Amino acid sequence: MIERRLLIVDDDKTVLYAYKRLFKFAGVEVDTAKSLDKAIAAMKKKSYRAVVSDLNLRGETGLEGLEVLQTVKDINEDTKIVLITAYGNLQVRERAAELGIDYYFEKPVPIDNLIKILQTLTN
Amino acid sequence: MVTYMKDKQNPDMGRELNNAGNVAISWPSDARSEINLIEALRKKQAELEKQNRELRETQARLEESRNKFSELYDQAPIGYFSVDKAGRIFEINRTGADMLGDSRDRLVNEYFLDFVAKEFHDTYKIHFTDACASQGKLNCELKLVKKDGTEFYGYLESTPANHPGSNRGSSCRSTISDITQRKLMENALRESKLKNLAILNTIPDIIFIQDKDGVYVDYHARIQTNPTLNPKDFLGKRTRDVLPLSIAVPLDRLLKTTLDTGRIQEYEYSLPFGEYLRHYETRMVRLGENKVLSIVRDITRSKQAEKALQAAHNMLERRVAERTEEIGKINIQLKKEIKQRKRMEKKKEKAQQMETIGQLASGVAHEVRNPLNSIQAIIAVLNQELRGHHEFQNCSKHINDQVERLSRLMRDLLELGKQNKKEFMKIESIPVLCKSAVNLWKQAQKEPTHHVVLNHAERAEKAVLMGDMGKLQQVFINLLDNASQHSPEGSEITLEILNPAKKNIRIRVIDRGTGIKAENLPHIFEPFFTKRHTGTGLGLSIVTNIIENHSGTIKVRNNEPLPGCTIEISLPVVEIKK
Repeated sequence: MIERRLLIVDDDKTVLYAYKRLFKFAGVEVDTAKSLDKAIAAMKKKSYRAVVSDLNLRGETGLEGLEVLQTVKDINEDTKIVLITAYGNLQVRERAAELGIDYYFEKPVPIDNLIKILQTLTN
Repeated sequence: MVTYMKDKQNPDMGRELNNAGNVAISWPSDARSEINLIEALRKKQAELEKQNRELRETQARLEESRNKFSELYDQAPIGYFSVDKAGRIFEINRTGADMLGDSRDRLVNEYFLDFVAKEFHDTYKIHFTDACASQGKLNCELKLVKKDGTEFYGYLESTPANHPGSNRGSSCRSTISDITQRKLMENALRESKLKNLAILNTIPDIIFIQDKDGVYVDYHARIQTNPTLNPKDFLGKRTRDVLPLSIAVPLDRLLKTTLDTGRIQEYEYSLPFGEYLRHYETRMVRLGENKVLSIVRDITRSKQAEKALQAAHNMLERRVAERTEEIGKINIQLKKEIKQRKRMEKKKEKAQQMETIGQLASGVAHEVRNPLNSIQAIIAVLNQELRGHHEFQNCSKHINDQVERLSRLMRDLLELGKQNKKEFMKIESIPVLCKSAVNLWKQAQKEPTHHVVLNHAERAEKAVLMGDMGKLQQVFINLLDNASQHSPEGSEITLEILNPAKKNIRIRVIDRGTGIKAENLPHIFEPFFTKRHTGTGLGLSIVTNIIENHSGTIKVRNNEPLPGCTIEISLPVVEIKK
């Protein structure tokens, strides 16, 4: 059984800080990672109910988020994945859909919605 | 022989007369006193002395007279000389000597022939012989040579003369005058005459001379070029008698003008000549006081050449005109093409511009969205932390509003940068599209502020186009937004679909608001032009972008009559379903 644990992946530390506190309020445990490598390392250590990742993690391609999600799928099929992005690119959405993401948000993300969705996904 | 006669006064005296009839002697007839004899002798002596004196006076007078004549002879304006039968000069006056160029003394006994130019020797010899033999005066003209070789012309008049000690008729007395001047002038005149004649003979024109009444008094024409010209036909006749009235009348007028003004008059006319029509040109000039000379030239050939040239010129002009017209048409065509090309280029340029702007806008939007996201997240955290804090809640609301505003702007910016996605293009009915747009808009309104009316013309029912429905709906939503923000609450907004044309259909959004100032009309589609508080300023730019991506056009104008304005969109139709 996967614990009600959430992994937030974003290169922006404000986001990591805010989301951690917000989700804690909602009673969800949150781990954070600010790069692809860190995310992969974290996922190898623990299992998560859901992973929320920004698309652009300031790596080489700006599409590291997709790799994160791919890794998630590789590690655990049941883990839900939510993609957040500042870009409304169709190709990205298509790729994400191929990967089988569970939800997709464009920034700025409406927080209430995010919490609601995650609650739904993790229950 | 002595002649005696009785003295009439003194019958006693007898007189002895000499040959001359003068008293030689007279003595008393009886032997009176010797005193009477001495008296008589003394008287005689006195008479003789008187006679002597008279003789001497007479001699003197004679001498004087002789001298006078001698002078006259010598200094006569012509030369006098006499030539003996051998041809030698034996007498010559000063003038003559001067003429021959030597002194009188030296000239005597010279042969006159030495002073005659060689070519005239025969002439002189004949003249001399004839003169000697004739009774009266003979004359001839000679070229003479002075002593120093100078030549001159002389006019000789000779008569036979007596040479003391010779037979009558074998010598000759001549006068000689210098006619060099005259001779030279004569030569010049003759040469001039010859030259004139030569010139005249080369002129192919006919020259007429008429008097002041128009009667032909003389003419000149080369036979070769005018074989049929017969002077009998016109000499002595008037112009009217020779030429048709239509020509004679103006010619006579011209004649009068020439005589009056002294200026050269010109005239062109035509005469039938056999079966052809020939053209002539005449020039009249005044000759003396009351005659006119005209030169008539046949200009038929040049006239024909003129006509041919004119015809060729006309044809050329016609060709040029045709070609010009052709070129004009081509030019118009070219201009059209150039215009079209320019329009295409402009469109392309604009599209590229839009793409660049779009990319920039997208870039900006994306970059801004990230911090916006962070801000929102932190606000959410603060909201949770300070849930009970009233004042904070107010502040946080304000912050959220601003973030929302920025979000909307970023969304619109991104919208501007988007191009058409082929995947979203599909065929849709226009009335259906408009209806759904209106509905969406109504739903988005918090409360109904305006009355929206949707009209479509009869044939618009079946009109269909190809496009991105989402985007096109956005267009009408934005236009309705724009209309409602510019018109008073409760007023009507009309969405009208007009009858489709062959290739496109027009849709109008009509509001009854304030209208737009004329100077602003061309600018309202520019980004951030309309500064409304609630909008992003990009609504109409987005509309323009979408419409242009669908190969349509958009126009705006104020309503006539006011109030309000109309925005008209034209979009290409795919087909009109039957």
